[in-house]
Amino acid sequence: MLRLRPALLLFTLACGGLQLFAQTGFEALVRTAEGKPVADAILSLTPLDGQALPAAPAPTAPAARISQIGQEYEPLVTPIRTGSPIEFPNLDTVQHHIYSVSKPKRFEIPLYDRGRTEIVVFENPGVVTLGCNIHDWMLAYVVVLDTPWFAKSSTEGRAALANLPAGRYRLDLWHPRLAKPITREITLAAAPAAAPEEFTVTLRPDRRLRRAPAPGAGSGY
Amino acid sequence: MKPPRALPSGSLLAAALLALVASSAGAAAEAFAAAPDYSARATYRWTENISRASGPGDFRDTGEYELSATASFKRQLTPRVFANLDFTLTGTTSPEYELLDRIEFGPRLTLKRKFGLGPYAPTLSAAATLTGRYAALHAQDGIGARGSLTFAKRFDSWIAASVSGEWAGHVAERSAFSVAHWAADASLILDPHPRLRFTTGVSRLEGTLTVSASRNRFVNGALAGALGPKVASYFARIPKADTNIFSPAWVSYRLEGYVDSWWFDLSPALTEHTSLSLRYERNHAESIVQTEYSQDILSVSINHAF
Repeated sequence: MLRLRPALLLFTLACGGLQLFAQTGFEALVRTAEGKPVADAILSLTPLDGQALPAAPAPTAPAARISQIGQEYEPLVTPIRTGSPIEFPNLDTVQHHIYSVSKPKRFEIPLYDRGRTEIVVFENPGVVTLGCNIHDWMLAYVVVLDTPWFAKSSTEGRAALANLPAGRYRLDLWHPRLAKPITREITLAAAPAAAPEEFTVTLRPDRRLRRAPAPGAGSGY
Repeated sequence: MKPPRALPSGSLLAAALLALVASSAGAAAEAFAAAPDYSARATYRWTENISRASGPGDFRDTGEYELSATASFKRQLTPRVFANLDFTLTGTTSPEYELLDRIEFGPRLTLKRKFGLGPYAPTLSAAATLTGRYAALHAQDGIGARGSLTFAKRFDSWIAASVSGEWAGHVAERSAFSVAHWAADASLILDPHPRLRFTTGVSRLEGTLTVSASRNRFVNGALAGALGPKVASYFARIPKADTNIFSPAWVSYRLEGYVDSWWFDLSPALTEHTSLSLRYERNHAESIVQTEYSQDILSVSINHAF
């Protein structure tokens, strides 16, 4: 028995180590109070136990693409990691003028002809609102995050994260029509939860500018 | 009676303008290095007192159908200056009074200066329009020019306002239809919902305008002194033409005066590209010899951007 003790001790330590570095997952289901799924919500988890975040990949290639097509931005919401580049192809037959006056990234690209593609690097975390100075209804959001663990909710309202270490995290849930992001602390066990965590949110009215044609002039003299 | 001033043929001018417009459209596409945006509008308009008559006996009410198509070229010239070149063709028909039928066409160039970025930045726009008119009543045929300056500002996603000043003139085949005026207007746009727009505005126009009366009332009433010697003297010297516009024995004549207008428009967006417009317009005009008339205009339009 005495000879078995070191082996048992090693086994226990190994199991503890596996627990510490176990990869787990997290899934959120975002819905309104009426039960409608909410797309384009950004779920992010930031570790609270002082673990070092995985290094961001070198910004050699664009991390995301926001197209200007049909005189709209596509997609509406893009999450990226701090320091990542985004490419902005103009796939329209008309000019655009991308701009942002948001604090984390102020920039503008005027005289943006069709067929052109520009790349912009987002160095600071935060929400960057994009507009077009020619087509005032065009709108997009870039959510720049320090953490590598983030996901965007699908049209079914689901956002899933995989391959993250078990432990304590600050959970942030952001949506362009949320009055205030939802923030809470969660602890992830080694085994992912069987059911997604549900978030019931209240969305503000959609205040996007009207795109439909303006009424015509009057009878005229 | 002073004979109407001889003017270049309106039809010829209109044809020349059409040729100019057609040839310049291709050049515009190249210069603006962009494909045009196309839009169309279909309108039914009901006008009470379309004759612009002062006496109830000459009031004529009618409905008109209108179709309008526009090709629009947009170009950003500098980061804050935008150019917009539109070519518009409009056809109007009145089933009841066919002499109101007309086709209008021409280019409009707008230069817009935006003072900042985004939808809340104020804008100052200068626009110049040339319009050729070919009408069933050929006395109206001719070319019109219009220049305007508009200052607009959106204050929030639900409210915007604009003020503008304009000069417009039309040189017609008969001088009774050659008019010119200055106008100023202010409008307020309310967007209580992205799919609903309410617009209201007021305007004042001062200059010359063409009105009509039955020949009996005009000759045996106004010209004979029924409205006083001042009116008779004024009506004797203004340009006039026998037009039979609303029935046989009707006269159209050109007055100097002003028109005050007030209007509102309720416009639901049916889709991102299509909107409906329900509009009411009230006009009140008074000539420099104090003859006056009012008009009420109701219209429904469907607007589509392709």
